[in-house]
Amino acid sequence: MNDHQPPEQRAFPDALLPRQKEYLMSEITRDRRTSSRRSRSLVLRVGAVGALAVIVLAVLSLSGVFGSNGPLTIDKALAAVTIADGEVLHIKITGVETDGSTFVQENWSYSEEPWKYRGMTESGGGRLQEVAMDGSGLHQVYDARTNSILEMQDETVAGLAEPKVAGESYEKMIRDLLTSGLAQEDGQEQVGGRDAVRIVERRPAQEGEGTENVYLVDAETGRPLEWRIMNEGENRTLHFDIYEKLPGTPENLGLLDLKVAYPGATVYTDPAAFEQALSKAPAE
Amino acid sequence: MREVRGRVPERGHRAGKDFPRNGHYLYVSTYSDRRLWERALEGQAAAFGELFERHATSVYNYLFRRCGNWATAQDLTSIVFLELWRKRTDISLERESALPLLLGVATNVLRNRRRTERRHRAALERMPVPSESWSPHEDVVERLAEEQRMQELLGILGRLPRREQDLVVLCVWMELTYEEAADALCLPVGTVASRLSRAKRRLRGLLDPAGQSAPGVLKT
Repeated sequence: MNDHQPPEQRAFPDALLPRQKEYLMSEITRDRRTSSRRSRSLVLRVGAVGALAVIVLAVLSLSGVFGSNGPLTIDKALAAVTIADGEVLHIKITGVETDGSTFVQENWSYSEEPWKYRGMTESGGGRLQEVAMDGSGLHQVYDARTNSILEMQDETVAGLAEPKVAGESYEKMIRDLLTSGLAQEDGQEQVGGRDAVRIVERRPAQEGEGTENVYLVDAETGRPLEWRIMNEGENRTLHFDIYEKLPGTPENLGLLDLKVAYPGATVYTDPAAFEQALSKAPAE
Repeated sequence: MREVRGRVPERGHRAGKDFPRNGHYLYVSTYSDRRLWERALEGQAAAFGELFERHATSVYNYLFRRCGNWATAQDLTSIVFLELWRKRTDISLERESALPLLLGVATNVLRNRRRTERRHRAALERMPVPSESWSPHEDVVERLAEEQRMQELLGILGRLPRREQDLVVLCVWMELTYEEAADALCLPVGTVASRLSRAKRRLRGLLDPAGQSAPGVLKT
């Protein structure tokens, strides 16, 4: 049985994919026809959304002509999202979605070996998820309802070159944006009372609406302040409440340890005991 | 200078790029899964088709890793998407990626396979017959070997409680994060962590009772 690994993944058969896709689409169309009244309502909604998106894009396209390239600002912005060895990066973001819902994400990361990571996400429903891990295989999970921590050694974490957390590296996405060749300076505005430089990247779509990124950085330091993403009629704004590089002192490295962050929490090393504690908490 | 590792889970700019996901690359169009899902709910069948195209391979491989048979996994892939569609009014896609949701549906489809197939019988009867260009006999020896190997692994995995099996396959073999697995199975993330830890400990005992080597089944 070799090394107890499952076989490599196979692609869904190419010859079947288009037909299966077409079949699913036809099933959906069939299903939708059975509810014509709802369909009419939805057509109106789609029309309204489309019209709104067109208006938004029209307003944005009239908001000004792109300025000249600003390599100095873009270089400064790039430098701001590049971290030196031995530094702890601390980011806190408040995101606002198209529908007005918000989320808050905060994380600390340390790239020196062994790497360390601590991150939390709070959605609009108040649901909090928090984990911490490091390159030695230490994995912690915090449960706010019971103020308890499960701490365990996990070899699947120890084997990773970097933390495995949901989503993509945000700094990498910023660097991709800044180095895409499409990003240009586009004037200044005030963000939270600070002078900010607008860096705009527009990507036309093959069909339909395109994507526009407005990335605002501190005019003096290049530090990220805000990122407005307009993707095919869907808008998202990320406010950088905190973006700081901290020296890798023992005190700052303690920020990456949930036991230090929650000194009053009960720490479990036995998963069964932790699960039993969770089962006594009120339902989410 | 090192690469920065601050992350924003499931949010951000992904337009028109190939992003790595779980060790392999998927094409990510300018629409997020959530947007596609919304559009599908608004009646745009093509949006659901794009979701299928985007995730069929992952669902297919997840199903294979649960049932150990490529042909069954292929048939059940469509059922998973049909089941997702059937439950659309009960489902709120909060993440940008629909994959955790799909794998959660796939887990339930496998658990209630007969009932689910019966429910979709009429739709399955309309399913197109594979075209002549598709030969299920391609790579037949290799596929059979893979199925045999998978069955052996599932034999070991089957000695765990079902709920722990789910997590080993989702988190270790499919490389979902704890948070994604929690979403897939509608569990608190802490429960995922504790159950998975216990499952790994049991597997370690089953695969390597002497404790002399780290079993590969636990490695990503």
